[in-house]
Amino acid sequence: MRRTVPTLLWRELESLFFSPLAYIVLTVFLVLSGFSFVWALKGSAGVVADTLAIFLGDGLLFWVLLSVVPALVTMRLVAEERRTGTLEVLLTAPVRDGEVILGKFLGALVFQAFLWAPTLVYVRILRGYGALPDTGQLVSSYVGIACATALLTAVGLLFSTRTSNQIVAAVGALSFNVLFLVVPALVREERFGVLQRLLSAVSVTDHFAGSFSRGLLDSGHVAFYVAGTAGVLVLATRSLEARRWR
Amino acid sequence: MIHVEHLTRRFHDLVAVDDVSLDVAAGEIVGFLGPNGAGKSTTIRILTGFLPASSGRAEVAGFDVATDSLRVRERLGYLPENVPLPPDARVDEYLEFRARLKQLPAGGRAAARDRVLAACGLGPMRRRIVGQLSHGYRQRVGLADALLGEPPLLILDEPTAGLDPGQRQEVLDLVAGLRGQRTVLLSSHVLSEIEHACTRVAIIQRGRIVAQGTKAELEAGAGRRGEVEIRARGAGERLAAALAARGLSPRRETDGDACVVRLPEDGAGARLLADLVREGLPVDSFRPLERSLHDIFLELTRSPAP
Repeated sequence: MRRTVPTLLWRELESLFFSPLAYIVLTVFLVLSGFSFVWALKGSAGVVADTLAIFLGDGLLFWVLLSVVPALVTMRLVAEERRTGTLEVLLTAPVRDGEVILGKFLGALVFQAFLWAPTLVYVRILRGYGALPDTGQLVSSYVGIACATALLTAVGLLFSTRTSNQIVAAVGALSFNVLFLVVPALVREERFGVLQRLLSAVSVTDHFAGSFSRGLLDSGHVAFYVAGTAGVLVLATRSLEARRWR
Repeated sequence: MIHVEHLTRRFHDLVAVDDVSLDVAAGEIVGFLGPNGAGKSTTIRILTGFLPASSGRAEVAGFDVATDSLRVRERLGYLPENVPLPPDARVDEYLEFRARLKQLPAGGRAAARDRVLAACGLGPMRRRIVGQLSHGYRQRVGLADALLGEPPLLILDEPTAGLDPGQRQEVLDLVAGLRGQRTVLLSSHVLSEIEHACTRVAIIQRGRIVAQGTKAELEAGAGRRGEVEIRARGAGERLAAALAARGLSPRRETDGDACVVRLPEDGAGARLLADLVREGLPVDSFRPLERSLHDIFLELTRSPAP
């Protein structure tokens, strides 16, 4: 059995944790998530379910983190390897392009799990004050975060395969994420007709708000993220393969 | 081991590789010689499956590099030009990563890694971070990676670039030591390296293979097409006049007894010698002038652009 994906995942994690950017992202993430929690506490007037809903789904800072972090974490994954030439060494090893994409994607995803894990401390803080969050809501929120992060990480990776400049990759992914999140919200009214329904169907925020942050694990919403992630990863693989096309 | 047929690669208007055909048998060490920008690295990148050809085909170990790239790469150790390496890894950790990527069995990975570390003189450097190594040691790490897993084919693109003379000699000795055990395609623009290590040479210029063969074949071929030195002791003047009378523009050697002329065609030498002897010239020697590989390389690669 080929074990190249775990090998690539591990190498990617080592590389991410070696990079100073990782610690900058980690620090900024912790500060912003702290602000987000305080904001959620104030905004919910002490109602635990509302605090969690704002902190892990409805708050503006939550979506800022969710759209910016994947773009920053993924920007160097392929672009930097292309710039330094190590991509040639990697792709001339006996490894499939799809395995490279999957290994890098999982590496970025695991790294972001390290970023989100400390937010569980806030749940512990709530418990410390006698407020008991609903476990179902908590679990579904983190499943939702994992799903949305996976989709936006795949998008970031796709942009990283298209350039040798990591800033260009980050700006591209970030612009896409913002459009992906903002445009459906701008055409939410019924008068936009088909366009409104179409954008709502592919809206990351709508799928999230309608399910995960309310404590519902709807298979349809999960399938949207899983299918979207898989589709973008296939595109990223094709993008990497494109250099071999005649 | 390598079979290339009419390979062409275009980058927009630039033809980087132009109708290249090349064969490398198993166990051979073939030098791929050409000046910078001649098309060596592009040809190599096509052979490794990193780039596609615009037309033509290439096979490695019987597998088409375009359609069976993975199988080709399973049999390949590759050292790219400039040796790009991740700066953040330690030498032994990087080689461990590469060994895993090459699917070496878990039981033999450490031994395989230690063997290439020793072969490339990297033992004392094994715990150093790659980004902190000198260029020479980085080159060795790249070479160690290429040797890892004992692939049947090694493609080394400028493996001695940036090395000092001692390091260069070590690398070339290492490559020469593989003769008969592995197939090696060694690219270089330094002729002496190719002469030292290779059994056969292919010279590329402006994307085209302009000569290929063993050193002796190239020199002999060049000699036959080239000039002859004719020596007639004490009769240099008469010899020069006789040659000039045949329209051959003789060049007198400094000792006065010998002339050098370029023959108009293959086979003209025997006729010329017979004529000179018939005219009573005391011809002592009649010697085709062989050109060294160095001369051939310079002649082929200095020719003006079309």
